[in-house]
Amino acid sequence: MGQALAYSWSLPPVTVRFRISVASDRGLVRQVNEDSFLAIPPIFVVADGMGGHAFGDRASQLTARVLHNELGTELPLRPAAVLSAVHEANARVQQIDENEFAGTTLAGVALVRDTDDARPHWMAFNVGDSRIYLWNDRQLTQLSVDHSAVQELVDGGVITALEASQHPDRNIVTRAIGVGDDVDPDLWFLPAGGSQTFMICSDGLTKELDDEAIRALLVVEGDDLSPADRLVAAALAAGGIDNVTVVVVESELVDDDPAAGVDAIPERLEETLPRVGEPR
Amino acid sequence: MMHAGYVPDASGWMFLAGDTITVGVAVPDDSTLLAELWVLVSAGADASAVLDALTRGGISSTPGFVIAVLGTRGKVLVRGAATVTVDGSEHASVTGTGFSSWAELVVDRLDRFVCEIVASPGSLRLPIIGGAVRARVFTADVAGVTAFSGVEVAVPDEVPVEALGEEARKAAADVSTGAIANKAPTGKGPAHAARAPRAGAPESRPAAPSRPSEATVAAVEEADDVDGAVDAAAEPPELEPSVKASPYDHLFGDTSYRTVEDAAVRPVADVDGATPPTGIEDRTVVASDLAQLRAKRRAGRGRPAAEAAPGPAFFVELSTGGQEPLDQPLVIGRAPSAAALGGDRIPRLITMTTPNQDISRTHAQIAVEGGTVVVTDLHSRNGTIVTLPGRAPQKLREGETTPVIPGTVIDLGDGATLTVREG
Repeated sequence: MGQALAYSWSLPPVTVRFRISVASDRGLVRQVNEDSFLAIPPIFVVADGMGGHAFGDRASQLTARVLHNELGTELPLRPAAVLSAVHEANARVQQIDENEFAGTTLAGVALVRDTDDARPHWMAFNVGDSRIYLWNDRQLTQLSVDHSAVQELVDGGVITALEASQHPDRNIVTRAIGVGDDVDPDLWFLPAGGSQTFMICSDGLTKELDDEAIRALLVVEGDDLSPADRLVAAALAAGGIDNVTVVVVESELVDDDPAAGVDAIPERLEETLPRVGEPR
Repeated sequence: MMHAGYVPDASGWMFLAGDTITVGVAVPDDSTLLAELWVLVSAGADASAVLDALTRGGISSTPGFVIAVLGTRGKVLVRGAATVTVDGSEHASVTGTGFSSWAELVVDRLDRFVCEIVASPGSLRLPIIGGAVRARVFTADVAGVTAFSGVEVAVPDEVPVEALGEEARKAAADVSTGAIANKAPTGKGPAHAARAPRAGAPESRPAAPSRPSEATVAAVEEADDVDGAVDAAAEPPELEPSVKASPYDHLFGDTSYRTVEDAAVRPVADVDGATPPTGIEDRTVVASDLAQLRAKRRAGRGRPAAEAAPGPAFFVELSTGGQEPLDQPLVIGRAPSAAALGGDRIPRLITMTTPNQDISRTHAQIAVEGGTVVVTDLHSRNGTIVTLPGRAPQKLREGETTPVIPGTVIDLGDGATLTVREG
C-alpha cells in the first residue's frame, strides 16, 4: 500500500536515524484523492486539498512540491527557511486560478537548527485541520491545534471535544494555504532527542480513529505492515469516508562519539520512491 | 437615503442606523464596541468592516448581531435570536438562531427589511433618521418603495430552533423551506442561499454531494424550471463524467473552506420540493474569513517593533560561554521547547547544560518587545531571579514577565546565568 524507507543522517554533534512510512488512500467513498504528502528528510508534511473541480488536488500537490523545491536541497534547515517556504506555497496556491477557490491544509514537521553547530530540534507547523501527533513510546500527544470552526467552539467552551467529532461543521477549516495573501501557521519547536515518533495525518484518519485507537496501532509489532499502512488500513476498515493520508516519522537521535568520522550528506540506506505524494 | 423605523424596547437590542448600513447588536451596554460600531456605521463602512469589529474576539465570544445593507447587492447577516424578513428582488426571511457562526443572505436588490428580536405586530413604531436606539423591531426601506407608515410586519411562520442537533436542524431547514415557498408562491424567487449554508439540512437530505459534481449539476438541472436558480451552481463539471457523487457524501463532507461571499451567493433551488442542489452543507457561512480579518488587523498593527524598527541591538552573554543576539525571542532551558501561535516571531531555542541538570527543560524567555528587553519565566520549577544593575535581586514567579535593562543578570539556578548586553 504505502512506502517505507530509512535514513541515517549525520548532523554533528549528533546522528539522526529516520524510519519513515507513508500511506495515502482515496478512501471508500470519495472519487478523488485530494491529499498529498512530502516525506523526504528533513521535512515531512501532509496537505489536504480543498476546492471544487480539481483544485483541491492541485493545491495540495503544489504545496508539497513547493516545500520540496524550496527546502529539499538545503541542509540543515533553518526555521526561517521553513516558514518562508510555507509563505511561498501560499502565494503559489493563490495563483492557481484567479476565479476558483483552491486551498489546502498543511501540517508537518522539519528537523531544523538555528546555527550550524547547534543541536537540532524539531519544528512543527500547522495550517488547517490536518494533525501532528507525537509518540514518545509512552504517550501519544496531539501537538497541533486544529484551525477549524469546531475547535473554536471547543476553545470557547461552547461544545466538548466529543461533540466536536460529531458536529455538522467539523469539516470547516478557519485557516488554509492559498486563501489569503498572508498565511498564519502555528509553529512549535521542541527538542530532538532519543526516540521520537511523529505521526502526521489528514482528517480522514482522525474522523475514523480516536487517539486511543491510533496509539494502539502505533505500537503493534509483529505484522508486516508499516505504521502508516496499519493506520490507513484501520481508517478504511472503520469506514474510509474521506481521503486518508498518514506519514509516520520514527526518529532516533544519538550523540556522536567525538572520535567518530561523520558524513555531512544524508546517507541513503534504503529507499523506495520517496516522492512528493501524488493522488492516485 | 432610507426610511427607517423601530419599536422601542428598553431591554431590546441596540440598533445603529446609518445612511447605508444598519447594525443591531445584542450587547447594548458594551460602550467600547458600540462606539467603534458607530464610527463604522456613520462612516458608511461596508458589512465586512462591521463584521470584523464584531468577530474580533473569535466566533464563540461574538454577540448576536444583525448587519443589513439595502440596495443593489443588498445583504443581511444575522447571528443569534433575530429574524430578518427581506423584500426586493426576493422575499425571504433569515434567522441567526441555530447557527454557530451566522446566517447570511445576499440578494440582487434589497428594498426593505424588517428585523425582529421580539415579534410585535401592531406595536407603536417610531421613525428614525439615524442614530442609536434600543428596539425589539427595526425596519428600513429604500425611500419611495414603501411609505414608512405602511410598513407591515411579516411575521415569519418559523419556529426558532435552539439546538444544533440533527433533528432540530432538519426541522429548522424544513420549516424555513416551507416559509420561503409560502412567500414566493410563483416559484420564481429561488430561495436564496441565505440559509443554505448551515441551516440547510445536510444531515437530513439525500443526494447533496459536498462539492460540485455531476450529480450536483444534474440536480440543479432538474430544478431548472425555477428561474435563475442555476447560475452559480451549474458550472460545468470538470470531474470525470463517470464520477457519481455518493449518496452518502452529504453525511461526511470533505474538508471545506468557504468565504462569506462564496457562501452567500449560491442560490438554492429548493422550491417546489426540487432536489436540493450543490452540497448544501458546504455553503456554510463560515467562520473562515475570521482568519483573514485577523491577519488584516495584525497587518494594521504592524509587526513587532523588534522587526519593524532597527533599535539598539541587544544580546545576552551565557554563563556557559558564548553570546546570543536578541534578534529573535530566546527560549532558554535544559531542553527547551516553544510555540509560536498565530504569526508570532520564530523563537530560538537555547540549550544550557548545567552541572546538576537543575534548571527546567523550558525555563525562561528573553525577547525584545517595543525596544525593551523583556524576561518571562516560563513556569519553571525553581523560578527565575532577575537582578537589574544596582538593584536587589527580584524573583519572577511562575509565568511572570519583567522588563530589564542592559547589565541585568538573569539567574536560572544551578549556575546558569545570562547577562543582557547592548551594542
